[in-house]
Amino acid sequence: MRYSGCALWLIMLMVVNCGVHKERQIPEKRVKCVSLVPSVTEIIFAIGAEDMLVGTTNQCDFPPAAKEKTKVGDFQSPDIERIVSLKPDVVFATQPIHQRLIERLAEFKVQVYVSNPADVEGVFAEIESVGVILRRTKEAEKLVAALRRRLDSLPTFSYKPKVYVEISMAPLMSVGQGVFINDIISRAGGQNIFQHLNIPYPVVDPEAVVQENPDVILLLHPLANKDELKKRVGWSNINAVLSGRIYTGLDEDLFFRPGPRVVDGVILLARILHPERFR
Amino acid sequence: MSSKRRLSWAVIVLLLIFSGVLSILTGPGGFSYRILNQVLLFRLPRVLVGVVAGGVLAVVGGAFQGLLRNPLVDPWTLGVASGAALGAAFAIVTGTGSSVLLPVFAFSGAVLAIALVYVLARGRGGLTVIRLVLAGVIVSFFFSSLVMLVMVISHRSLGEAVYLMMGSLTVVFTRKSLGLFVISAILALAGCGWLMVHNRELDVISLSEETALSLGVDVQRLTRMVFLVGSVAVGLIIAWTGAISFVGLVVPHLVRMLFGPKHSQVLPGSFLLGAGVLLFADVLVRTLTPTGLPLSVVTALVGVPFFIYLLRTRV
Repeated sequence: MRYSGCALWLIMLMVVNCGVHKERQIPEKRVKCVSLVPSVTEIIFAIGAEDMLVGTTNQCDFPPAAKEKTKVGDFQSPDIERIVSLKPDVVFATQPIHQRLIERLAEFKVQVYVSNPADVEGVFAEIESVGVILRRTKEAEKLVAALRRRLDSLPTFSYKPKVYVEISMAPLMSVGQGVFINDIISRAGGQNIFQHLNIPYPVVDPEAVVQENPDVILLLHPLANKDELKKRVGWSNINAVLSGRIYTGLDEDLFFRPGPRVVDGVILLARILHPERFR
Repeated sequence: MSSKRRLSWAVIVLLLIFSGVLSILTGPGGFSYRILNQVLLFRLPRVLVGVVAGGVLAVVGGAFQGLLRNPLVDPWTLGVASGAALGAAFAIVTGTGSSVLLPVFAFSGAVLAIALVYVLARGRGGLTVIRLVLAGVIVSFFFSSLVMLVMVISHRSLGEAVYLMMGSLTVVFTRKSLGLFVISAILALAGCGWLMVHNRELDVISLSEETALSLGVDVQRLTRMVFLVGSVAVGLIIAWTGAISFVGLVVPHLVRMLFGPKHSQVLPGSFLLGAGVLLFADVLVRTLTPTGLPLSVVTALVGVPFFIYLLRTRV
């Protein structure tokens, strides 16, 4: 049992890592794909391959046309029966959420592409891979070039304000290293106060936030409330509170979805962190 | 007071002081006078939350065990903790999580849970141990599932639900909520005081119901009052910390081993030891991992082996 599990893993790794190999395996007919990852759905639309997309999840809501596609369940718990019944040539999934599903799809001999970009470069690489798989190589390259140009148009920032991102209040949670938004913050010319924590979404001690004394605070959760934050015991002397640089109501998908809109996220955050450079 | 007993008291008081000091010294950046302000604003409230939570859970656990003559009951196994967590979840998802409704919902949930257990467990032969434990487990599962359901359908993160079900002493206070917490704590402590005042009745009833009746104790009334007061006190605390397991179960047993079964000793002893144990568990939680753990992970890791020991030797 254990060995067969290992073997499956090896096969998976080979499938995942060999983009070129995969291209050869996918038959020449029109490619049919299912995307279980909202960010990949965005990529597919952005490279104009949406006609090959036969299924998405309930969370794949951008661009608006993505909502019209056949749904195979929630991002967290897609329905394998519905996926298989769509007879896709390739399924786009992510780890660790879809781990079990990926293993089962392998049993059905469905090719799986595992999306897991750790940073903005990873997103660019992924756009190109999706382009290769769906035979939209040129479009993908064009898109990446355009996105790079927009990133390069940003000035370089010497002053790097300290940023605290709050994604949950009870427990108090922030973002650490290896999460996508960490890279967005540094590209936007800031530094995440918890970038030293090697945990994607760490539960943090409020005392640590105060000690790090962030210059800017981003509240990215449903309870986000500036006034509540200002009134927290012991938080009143934080730079961000003193200067009022607390931000709520931002489009969270720009920061948490590793898709083509990531560049919008970087630019939006750069404007927040360095308003003086964008007058 | 025998010298052995005096020594035991000294040990649990010292443990509480030791855990309290350790808790004050533990935190980002360690301890120095330079960050005294930070220590006062964050670690002192934390110690306060820990002392009240550990103390109240253990006292209520001890009172329930005595009342029901059953070593396996505590606020957790009787469903009170899950009921309180459900109330708190309800307050959180309706956006009233920083108002007075948070403790109100939480103790209402706790009272609802114990009332359900009481009704379910009362068969023809009165309250029996097995029915009570069964009813507690069932209600506990039911309310835990409701917590998850409430959190998921209102699109809250699972992390939030987990911490609500498993507890933490990290509470982000505003001035207003700190005030509310202090009021909740005073009321919960008053509840513990009430239980301690009734220690003689608990002593009598823990011998047998017949003895209690023959000595003129209104057993039914006392049972209802202990249930009510105990679950309100626990609910008022769990509103802030989330449900913490095993402190209420294990601590009273330890105290009985030290001081014997008299509630005049068991309840105050449970308060001190519960507070010390919970503070120590919290220090472990904060030092073992860089990002903290739900508190019940540690209390259960210690509590479960003890629970097994109880099952094998005492029940």
